[in-house]
Amino acid sequence: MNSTRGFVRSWAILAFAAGYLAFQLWVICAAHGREDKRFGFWMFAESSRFNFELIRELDDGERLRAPGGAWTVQGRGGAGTTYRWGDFVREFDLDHVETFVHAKTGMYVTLKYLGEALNYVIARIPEDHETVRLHLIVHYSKAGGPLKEVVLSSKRRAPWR
Amino acid sequence: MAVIRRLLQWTSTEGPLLGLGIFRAFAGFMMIREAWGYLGKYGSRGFYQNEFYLPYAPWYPLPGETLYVAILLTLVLAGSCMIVGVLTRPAVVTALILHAFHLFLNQMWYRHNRYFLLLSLMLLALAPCDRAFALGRRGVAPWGPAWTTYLLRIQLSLIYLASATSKTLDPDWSSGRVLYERGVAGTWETVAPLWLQGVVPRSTLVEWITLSALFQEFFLGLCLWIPLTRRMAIWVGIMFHGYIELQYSVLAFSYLVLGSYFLFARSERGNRTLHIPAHGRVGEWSARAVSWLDWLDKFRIERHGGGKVFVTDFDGRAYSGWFALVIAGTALPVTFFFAFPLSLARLGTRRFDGIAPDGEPMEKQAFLIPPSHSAPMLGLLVAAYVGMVMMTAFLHLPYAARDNARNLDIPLFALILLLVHLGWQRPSERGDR
Repeated sequence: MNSTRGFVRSWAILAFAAGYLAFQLWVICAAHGREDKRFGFWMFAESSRFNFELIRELDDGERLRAPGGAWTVQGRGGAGTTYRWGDFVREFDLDHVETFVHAKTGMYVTLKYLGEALNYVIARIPEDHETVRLHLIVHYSKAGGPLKEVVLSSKRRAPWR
Repeated sequence: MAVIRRLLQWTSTEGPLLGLGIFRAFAGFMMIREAWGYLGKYGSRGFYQNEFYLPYAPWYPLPGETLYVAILLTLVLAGSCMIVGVLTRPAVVTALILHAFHLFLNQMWYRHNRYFLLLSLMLLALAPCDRAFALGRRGVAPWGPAWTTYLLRIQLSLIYLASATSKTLDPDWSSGRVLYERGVAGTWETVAPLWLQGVVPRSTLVEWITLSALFQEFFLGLCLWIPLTRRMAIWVGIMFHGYIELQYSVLAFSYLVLGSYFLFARSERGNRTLHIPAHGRVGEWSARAVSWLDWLDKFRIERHGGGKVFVTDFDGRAYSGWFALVIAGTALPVTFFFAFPLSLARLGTRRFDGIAPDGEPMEKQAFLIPPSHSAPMLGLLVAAYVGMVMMTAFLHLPYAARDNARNLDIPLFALILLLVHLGWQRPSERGDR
């Protein structure tokens, strides 16, 4: 009985060890084919750098720059409310508006997070009755490549009536 | 078929668990640091859901504020239990579940070191990691199944080799651009005089450093497994991760890797001997110091009729004077880093043939560096090390200032390990062995 139990235990350990190592190898190899390199132990990936500026789009299509990622609007009661990008987005060095910084992990992930962050911010500015969409103009150099520009846009929200 | 049989035998291999116990304590320490860091963030910035975050999947359950804080506090508690070895297995399983849950709350929180911690916890949860260095199980023999220790070792090698291979294949990395962007060149321009910068331009320097980093990762991934190169690899690893930690503060990664080195320690216990005079304070204090710092249980203590303290190494060679201190230091985790380079001087020694009745080594030994010179060399090495640390700290003040608490990490953690070591096994048991 004991030897049967030992035999089953040995096979279970062996199966687990083989499965674990196979899974690790697969995850590492797969990660190296992906842009985000997650779970691949690719430390200090990419020498990319980027900066960005924040643009507000109004209902009539006019686009206004928000210097330093901040803008002030008139609220319902007439009082001014100032919104700052850095109050909403703080992780991953995504709060350095208009300053060139190193892209953690890489440009792909940075651009993905910036795009998601735009949607997060546009949904959380209730006092701003003018802005219908936010844009980020991102300048970046990926892995020592030439400087490029990409414009990221949030979802459009209905103008306040 | 023979391969399968050997693999099945491997699953029932048993070995010493001291290294595993120490690694568990390291993982516990890192668990506390991780959770404490997020608690600090919560204290200064509030609940993480009040700013931009990105779960891995829309269906992933999100905690409320109270539950979130409770999770972090539980992780601190679990980490504490893992360090001292009280309720060890439940603590490891709790840490595993909560750390995994926390890691996947926000995509922006992914770090290789946090993932490495998760994998370590998973393997520790399956390991008999509560049989050594555990106040909750004093007197239990630190011996048991070794297959999880092997998996943890393989995991570490996989990390080194994956990292080194990916960087070698990546033109961005192998060209040196990544390290250039990470401030290596800036350091050179600050430190080196102009004439030296002319001789070794920063582009050349960055290429050398990149090659060196890649070589070290391959070296560590492979040579930790080879008995002949293992101690050299551990020393190189301490330098490598120590420098990365000082420069970039990757926290869990540095310490977990250093903790993993304990898993590679030779399995023999008591294979070195500290010979002390039967009477006298020097011998007694030497014995006490060694037993305090001998976390891997490498030393036996024997008394003789002579007046000198000397050490017999695992290969049978005996050393007295300052060099005995050096050789003893190579087997003690706290002093290994300083002692190992000095111990290389013994490469020119002849094998020891025995101990005379008066307690003296019977064969005269020839050293590359005479043992009488080892004390000044030790001082020089310590000074060089402290100098390097201070230079790095001053040159990278913005980095160093970011997390000053980490400067206390190693001394504090070493002290805790010392106390756990003293507490977990009864002194009589050590004496009996």
